[in-house]
Amino acid sequence: MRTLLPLAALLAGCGEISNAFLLEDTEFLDALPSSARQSVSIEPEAAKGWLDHAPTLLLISHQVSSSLNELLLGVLETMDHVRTLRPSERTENGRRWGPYPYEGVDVEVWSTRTGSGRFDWGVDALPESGQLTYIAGTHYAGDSVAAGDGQFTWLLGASAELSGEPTRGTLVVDYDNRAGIDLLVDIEDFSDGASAPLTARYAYRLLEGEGDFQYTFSADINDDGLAEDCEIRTRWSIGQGGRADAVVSGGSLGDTVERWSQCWDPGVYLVYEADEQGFVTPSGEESACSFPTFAEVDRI
Amino acid sequence: MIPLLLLASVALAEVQRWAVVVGNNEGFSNTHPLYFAEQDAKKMRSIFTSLGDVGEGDVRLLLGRNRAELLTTLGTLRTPIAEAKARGDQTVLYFYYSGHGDATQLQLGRTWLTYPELEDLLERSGADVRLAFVDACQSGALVRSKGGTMAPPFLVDLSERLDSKGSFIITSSTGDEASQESDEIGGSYFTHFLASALSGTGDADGDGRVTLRETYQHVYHETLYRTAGTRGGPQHPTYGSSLSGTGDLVLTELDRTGATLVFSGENGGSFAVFDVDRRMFLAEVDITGTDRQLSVRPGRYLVQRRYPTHLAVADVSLARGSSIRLTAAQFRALEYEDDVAKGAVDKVIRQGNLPRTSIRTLLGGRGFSDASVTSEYFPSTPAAGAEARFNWRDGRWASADVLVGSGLGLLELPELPYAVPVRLTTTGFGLGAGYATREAPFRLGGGVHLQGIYLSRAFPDTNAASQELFTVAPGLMGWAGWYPRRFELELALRSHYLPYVVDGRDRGMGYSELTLAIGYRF
Repeated sequence: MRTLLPLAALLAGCGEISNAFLLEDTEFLDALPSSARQSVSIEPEAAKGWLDHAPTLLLISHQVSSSLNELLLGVLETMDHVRTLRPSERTENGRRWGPYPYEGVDVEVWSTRTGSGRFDWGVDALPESGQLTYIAGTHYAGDSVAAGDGQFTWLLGASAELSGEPTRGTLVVDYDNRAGIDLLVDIEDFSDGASAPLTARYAYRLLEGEGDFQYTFSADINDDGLAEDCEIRTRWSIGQGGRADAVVSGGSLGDTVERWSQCWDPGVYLVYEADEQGFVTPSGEESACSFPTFAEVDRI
Repeated sequence: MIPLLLLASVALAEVQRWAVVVGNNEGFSNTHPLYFAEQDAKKMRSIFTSLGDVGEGDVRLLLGRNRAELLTTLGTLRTPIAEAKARGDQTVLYFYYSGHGDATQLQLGRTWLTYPELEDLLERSGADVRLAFVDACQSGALVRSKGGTMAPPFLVDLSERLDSKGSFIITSSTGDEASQESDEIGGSYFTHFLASALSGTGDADGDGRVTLRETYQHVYHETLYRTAGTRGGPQHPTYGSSLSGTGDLVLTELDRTGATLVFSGENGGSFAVFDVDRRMFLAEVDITGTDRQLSVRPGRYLVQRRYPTHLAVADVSLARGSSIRLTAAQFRALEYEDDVAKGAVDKVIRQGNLPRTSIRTLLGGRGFSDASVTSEYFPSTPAAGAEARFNWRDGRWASADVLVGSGLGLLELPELPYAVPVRLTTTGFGLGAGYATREAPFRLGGGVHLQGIYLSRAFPDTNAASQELFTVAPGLMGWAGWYPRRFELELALRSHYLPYVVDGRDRGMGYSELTLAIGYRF
């Protein structure tokens, strides 16, 4: 038996062939945000043309979410593009993609495992003057790497400066994808160069088929030259309709607080509308709402 | 005497001679390969050129060739023979065959030539005189139709000048006798004594020329004498003749080589002469009171005389034009176990048992049988290498090979949205063994193959470390080939099982190599 041991060892082979380190590419990629996990989607129903007859508050929320997504996609499209690329460098705890040209500048994306389940990542611009990290984030793996939580910051001014654009500001996104999609987006001192700096927060959550989008803003909603403070919370349940509740105060309202609600059915047709100050014509019964009670913004 | 010699010399000068010398150790499938047939043919070729006035370019030596090649060779001689006759020269064609035969035909490997066909071919050569020496079992059947004779009196009475026409055939045995080989003399009895006779031991009258009559008488007596006590029984060389004309034909002139061994009549006895350079038993010479000379090519020779208790051995070196007279003083005593001449014969026998070796270049590819293994781990690559193949007469073969594959491919992992470039290098060191169909232009073979396989994967687009694996893979192989003469063209498929579980997945890790071998057989 002893004489067979060397033969058995020989047959078992010396060395190792494995694709494990190649498959780890997916872990480092999953630590990066993606448009599927970190974007806001107010698409309450699959029915086509719903925007033509949707209630006003839902249309406003949809418009806000679209603008927010447009901003977020500045990061997310970069990440989605990286997913189509082979890493240019593989190390035991890291991957690097690029440099590749992006809007006139060579860009590198890197993802590093810095601890058990923790990944730090970033996007570096490589102008002739050196290296500039303009997006950086930290991701914590959950049950899987993709199902984790984390935070990233985009220095809008830094990246815009590389391309010669006047955009300024900072975008900070906290996300939690362990159970669904949960985003808290802070826009700080954002300006496209023409508008006044904007600071705003958006909260978006999509869990188990129910969506909740909250945001606040100031706007002259009745065209009297005074800006009112608006808080809008939009909730929907996929396949069952939804409800939007708005609180408007200040501006021309003075001390008065207006509470305005709209509900819609699965076809996104208005089934209930009411307000406290009588600015709108009430219609329908509140019992027809998929969310029966008024709910104020509570995450901002 | 001198005018007679001059006359003979003139006669030789007017005669153009060709020789077709055929040796084939292989016969039909029901025969055992011969050890010495091809060796004997080489010996006869040497004698024809060195002593028989046949030019180097006028000898066709066919070793291991088939019927078609013999027919072609004889056919190509017709033109030069016709041209010589047109010039007024007389023409002689020697034909020598050593190999298997039976009562109806000569066996040229798996092919054959019937005796009537041989006679017809010799006649169609157009040569004035055709002399055939056929060393094959039952070859006497060849001359039976001519009233073949095995009696010692030589009935042909030719003049010194070659003014005769026709054919004369000497066969090694009668139509119902076996022709025997001898380990002791390292060849067949018949050819051995034929070569001895032509080298000088057949020169009965001591005139320095060996005639057809002297040759036959020597071969007949010596072959019969030496085979009388063998297991195969006495072997009677036989002749048949359709010669017309008068006179005897001079086959060899002993001074043509310019080197002569002279055995003194005062030192009587039986001597054996070995060609040391060519490791060949050259001749036996019996001395009974008169001097005998043996013409040989320049070189080293060992002359041996046997005594009951010991051997007497003389080492002789002969330069062109030299003549050495052997005396008792030149011999030294040697114990029987130191018999170097026997060692030479043993070597020939051992060589006969050795496999034929071929060296081949391999071109082809190596790939894994499972599609997912190919796409995710080891892409197929071109491969090249070399192989030594050893083929025994009974169909056994063994091989040693190395095959290196290398190529740049793409790994397609379903988990990844992109392909990963990989350079795969595989080096296999293999040993194979098995059986093949017996030697023929087309052969099939199969067997087992054990390969030590080294695999290396490098990832050229990143700085990731390469991966390596060495293991031993058992396998099977089969091949089909075409083997014209000494060349080999062979298509082989080898399939191995790779005893390695990659990434813990239950996959079929078999790989195959398809190669085209181009080789040369020694």
